[in-house]
Amino acid sequence: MIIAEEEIERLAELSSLSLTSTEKEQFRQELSEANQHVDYLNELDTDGVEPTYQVGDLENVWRPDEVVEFEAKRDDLLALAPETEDNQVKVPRVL
Amino acid sequence: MKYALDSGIQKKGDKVDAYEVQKTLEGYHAPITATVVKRLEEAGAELAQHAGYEANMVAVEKGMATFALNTDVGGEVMAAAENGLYGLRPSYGAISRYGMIASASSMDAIGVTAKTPEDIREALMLIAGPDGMDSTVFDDLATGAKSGSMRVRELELDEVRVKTAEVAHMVIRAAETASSYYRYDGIRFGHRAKDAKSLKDLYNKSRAEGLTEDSKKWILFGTYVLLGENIERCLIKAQKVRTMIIEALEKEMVTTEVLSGSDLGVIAALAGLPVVITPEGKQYIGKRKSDLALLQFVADMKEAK
Amino acid sequence: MSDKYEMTIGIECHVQLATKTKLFSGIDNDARDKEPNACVSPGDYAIPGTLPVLNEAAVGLAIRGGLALKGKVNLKSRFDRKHYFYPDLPGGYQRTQFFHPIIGEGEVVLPNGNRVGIHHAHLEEDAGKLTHFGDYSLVDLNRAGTPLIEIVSHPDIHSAEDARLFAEELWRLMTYSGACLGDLYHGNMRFDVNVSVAEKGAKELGIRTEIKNINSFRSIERAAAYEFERHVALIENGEAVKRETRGWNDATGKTTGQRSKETADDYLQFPDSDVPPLNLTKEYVDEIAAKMPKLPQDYRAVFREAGVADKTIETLLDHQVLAERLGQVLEITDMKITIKVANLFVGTLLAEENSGLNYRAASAERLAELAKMNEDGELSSTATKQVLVALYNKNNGEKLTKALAKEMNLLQENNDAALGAIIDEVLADKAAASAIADIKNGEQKAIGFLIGLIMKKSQGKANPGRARELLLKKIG
Repeated sequence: MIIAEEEIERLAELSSLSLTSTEKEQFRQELSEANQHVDYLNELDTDGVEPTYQVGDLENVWRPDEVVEFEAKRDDLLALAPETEDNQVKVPRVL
Repeated sequence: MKYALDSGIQKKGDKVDAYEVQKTLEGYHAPITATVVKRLEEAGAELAQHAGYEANMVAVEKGMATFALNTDVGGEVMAAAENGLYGLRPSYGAISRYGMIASASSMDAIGVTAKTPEDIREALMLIAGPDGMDSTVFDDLATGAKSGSMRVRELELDEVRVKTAEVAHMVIRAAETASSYYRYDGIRFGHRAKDAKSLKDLYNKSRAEGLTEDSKKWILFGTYVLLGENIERCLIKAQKVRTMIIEALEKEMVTTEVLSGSDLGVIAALAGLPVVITPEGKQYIGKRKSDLALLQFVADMKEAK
Repeated sequence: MSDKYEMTIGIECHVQLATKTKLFSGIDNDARDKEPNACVSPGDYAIPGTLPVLNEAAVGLAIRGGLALKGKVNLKSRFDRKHYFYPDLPGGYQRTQFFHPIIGEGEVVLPNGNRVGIHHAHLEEDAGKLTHFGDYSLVDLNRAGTPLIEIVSHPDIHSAEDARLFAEELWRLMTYSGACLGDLYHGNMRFDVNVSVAEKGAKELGIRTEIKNINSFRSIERAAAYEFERHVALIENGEAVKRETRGWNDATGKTTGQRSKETADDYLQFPDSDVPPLNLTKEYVDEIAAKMPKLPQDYRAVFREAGVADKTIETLLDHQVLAERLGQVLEITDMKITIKVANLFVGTLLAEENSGLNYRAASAERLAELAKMNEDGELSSTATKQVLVALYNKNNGEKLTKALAKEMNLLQENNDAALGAIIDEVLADKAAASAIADIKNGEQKAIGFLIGLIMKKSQGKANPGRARELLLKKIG
């Protein structure tokens, strides 16, 4: 199934990716091809089959409500930020 | 004991070079150390090289490191054979993923490569098991081992089955990778675009400039398969196929402990089963949590030759 | 004109759970009075390679909150990822329970008897906070990862007052159950109010607008009332109500359209495989249920039966400690004493001038004794109130009521002989002369004057009722 250019634009918008027109066309073709494989998958009968979204049989994995120490604290983390002010990451304001 | 570490597995203070997200992580020095690294450090192992997995395998081949750890989402460890090495993609959940840069959360694993299965086993014993930082790690790796001889049977996969597995893997990998990569946004770390005109512009440009073409493809396709109008046909369908593959393998393994074959990396990743490749390129898949027994089996086979 | 229309309201409430650490990492969850980003783990910052580890206490408190809502506890539930780009959501997705929430259908009954259905409640992590300046914003992630349950009601509310009553009752339920600390100032509970208006009897609901992030009860009522009028005005004018998110401005008393920032055209929701699913046993839930504290409705039933006035009950219920205490008083005494204590609480203890007291200080025994002493005439009304406040003074520790009253010199003079002597003294004073004459002439007012003198001479300890009897007897 072919994917249209508007769809690529929508996907790019949703995933916050600026694309050049060359990229749009390239990805449109590649995604259309991938989508055809998905069509192939849909020829299989999966009636009554539950999806697996995680393997293994773990359940109820949790920890006690106790404060623990982490190897990186505020200053270590903020040191990675492109711009900070007043111990906070600084970003352009959303309109 | 020396080891080589994939760039995608973090050590505090080290940069992330030679990895898919290295450009978007420019200027980033890991603030955390992966559990596997911590445990090896405690065991007295020396980090010989922190690089891309190809370079790491060469290091092992040349004897500069006893084993290498790589990030594995679909059987990348199989490249070991090309370097004349053994490779193990362990059961999902055998080794903590804490500190490893995530792509496909339900399939990511840490692969181990070495000259002998014994070396792999030794490494695995040092790094496996729960650490309180990864909720998907199980604690009974040893109990999966079966003493006594293990049976092996060839798994015949026709083209249809191989393709089915690959497509299912591709769809699930895309969705999960798109999700894992939302955080590469130029806000708190990594590459941030200059001259962004607004917050939205900042996101769009930072990601466009920092992410590789491959990453963008995964992200776009992953977003596609997760859309409300597509998810049933795409992701959920792939997950149902995944179930069928898991059940089919379980059925195949009623009368055997090991399945041999080729192109087993993808189905091992889908089912979370351990898979070993030998320098000759032979691949063996075992039951979940039977990693140690599987390694023993391969070692015994090596002896028998 | 407004009578032609009916408003329909549904409320979503984000409740911060009273845990020590966050939902998916063991970092301190209490950022009150702390600097920005003081309570941020690498996972909260979305450092690559970090993974979630669920806080067991959050599950327990979610269950408690759910039980308080008479909600069905779903033994099986799991976490999903909800994606959107915004700086207060570092990982780009929120871990929430979209498909299989931990709490199912429940209900809240308002004090006026109206019933509001609860659709479900689910666990999720809170986002950080942005502060805006000129052309930039600063990101504080202290709140990112805080455990929440989001409670979603059915659109069963049909008046602004009920919206407020619902919010208030929800606050009580969440604090009484222990799920939440209930500190509204620090945003422990935030309300989103969805309003639609249609003609009475209409088959369909009107267009819905959402007023986000209201955190006071009065504002909820005002905002709902305002929105109702606004919708009605538009409808009457033939204009369409725009489906949108609006913000409430307390100062102006108006809602204004807001462009919703934390949204996406598609949230791409799918299960989070980093967190194994929850599959609780009935025993696990029963154990939590067995330890549930008494809830407001339990106290209402018991106090109503004891004869405490409804208005008094509702005021008391805003203070769980006092409701608890009154319940204990009822257990050790009778209705009469209980009502007395209830009135003392509401009339005196909760009075403005007495704010800041530690409501835990006085035990049920000491309160019961106080009320009994008043009942038996050992303490005047005024004295009773003074001793009450003294019982809550930390300097008075565990002093028994009678001893404290004695120390404060407030025990009423009930000894007739002593009282008679005081009355004689007062009557002998020439200041009393004209009053005595007035009383003999039938002027009742002068009696009060003489009682006043008696009370003064006895330093307030005389029993006024008894003094009046003896006085009149003596005057003849």
